[in-house]
Amino acid sequence: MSTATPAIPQFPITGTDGFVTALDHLSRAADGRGLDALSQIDVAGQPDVERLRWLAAELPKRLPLLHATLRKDGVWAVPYWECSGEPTPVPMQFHRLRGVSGPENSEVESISELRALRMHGQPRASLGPPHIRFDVVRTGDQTWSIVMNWSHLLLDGTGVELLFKHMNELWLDPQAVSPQQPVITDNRPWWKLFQESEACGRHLMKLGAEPFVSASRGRLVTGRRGCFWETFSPEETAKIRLTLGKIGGDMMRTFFYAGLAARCHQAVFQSRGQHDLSYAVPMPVQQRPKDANGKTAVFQNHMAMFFFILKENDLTDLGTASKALMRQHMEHLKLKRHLSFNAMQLLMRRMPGKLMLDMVRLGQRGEIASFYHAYTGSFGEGMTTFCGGDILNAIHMPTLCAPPGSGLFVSECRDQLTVTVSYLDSCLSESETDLMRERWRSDLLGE
Amino acid sequence: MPATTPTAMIDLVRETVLPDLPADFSAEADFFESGLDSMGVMQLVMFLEERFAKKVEPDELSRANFRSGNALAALVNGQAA
Repeated sequence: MSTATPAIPQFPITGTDGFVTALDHLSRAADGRGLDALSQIDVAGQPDVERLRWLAAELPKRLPLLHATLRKDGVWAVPYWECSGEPTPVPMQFHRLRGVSGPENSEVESISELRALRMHGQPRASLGPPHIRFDVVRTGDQTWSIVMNWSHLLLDGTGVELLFKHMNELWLDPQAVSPQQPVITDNRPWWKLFQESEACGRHLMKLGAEPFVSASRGRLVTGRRGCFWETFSPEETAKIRLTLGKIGGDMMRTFFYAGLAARCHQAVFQSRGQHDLSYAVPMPVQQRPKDANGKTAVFQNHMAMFFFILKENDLTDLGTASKALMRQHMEHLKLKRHLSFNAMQLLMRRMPGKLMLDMVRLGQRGEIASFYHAYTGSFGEGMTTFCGGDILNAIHMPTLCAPPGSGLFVSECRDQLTVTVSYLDSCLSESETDLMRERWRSDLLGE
Repeated sequence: MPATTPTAMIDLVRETVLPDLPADFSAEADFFESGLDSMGVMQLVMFLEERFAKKVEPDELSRANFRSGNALAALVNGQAA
């Protein structure tokens, strides 16, 4: 009697995953480390070590992609996640800050030191698990933080927030239903995807003809990963909303913050004597699928990408920049460039990462974009508690490769806005991040 | 162009961005609670211009103006809050 072998679940990568995989390749080629990032939640109260350990063990049992490995069966085959590994617990370590009393044996000097250790950690040896790891740090008598180190291959910033949100759901109800990752397939033949890519291809060629630069000046360079951010107080955030309300309605936020990213980079480039530039501004817009229960997919990268061109006269102030972006967005939608770009990404996900990036950079004088940018909105869809305590703040610390070597990201948590600059120190200096801060305080607070 | 109605706006949203809107979706019901997102809003802006000759200005691009059939009809008819 033969026994049917249960099929091993497989998830083909999405079009956006394909591009991220290529960037991860670039990152590993530069310094051996992948395109990993950190996210941190600061929580009131004390960590419940036993229940957090339970969560670390429970997550992989419920979410098989946490123990999946990225595979590719041939040079031109579509890579896929294969959930063949054992659901071993997610690595979770407990620490306390020096001077804070607690049962943890591991004492760290500061949380920034721990973050730096994780950000510059071990080179990635494989494309298998663990894809995430946690550090839980007791930061005071009544405060603690959880730092998640995550691989962009499997998650994006919004997915990380959904994962945190689900952890909290399980904390409140250990029987809660977990989101099931939908298997996204696309059976359009390559020639059909090629045809549909045409509108986007034309736009990208136009983009490539513009004199845009990045902080890395188009060079493939490595460097120490840096991250600098400012969280505004609730009062400052309210003032920022008033400032932005004078420019446009609240559905304009995506354009405000993309415009802000461009203006902050403009401050840097002008200080380098680079004037009359164009700016190639990529703007990701989430398009996440849902499962049969209506739960949003946690894993994989799901973004429609829009590429904008801003010139110096579009960047005279934040209002002008935001409106220029909105006008271009309307044109993108009319010409369905986002659907065309989706088709292009689906076509290109078969390519070896190096070849994909070589093609992109060949058409754009070595560059990919002027910088990276994302606005992730209200953290965890407005979550206010995490694993037994009130959330005090939550931030993402993306890492990136060069080119472009820098990016500006905006998030919100409990009515507090955070602006974050991620960079490689070979591309952006500390004094240049200060210039950016001056620009965002001037634009957002009128200082 | 004659004034538009909340029902016409609900039909537009159903046809262009939220195909699963129920048949009895009311004029006051919230599109955002039914899945409308910023991408959908921008698509609506495009369709409002194409079909109703309504050019949405940046300061009109607010959640309140896109919340429901009533709100959208008021926006198109020039009666937005």
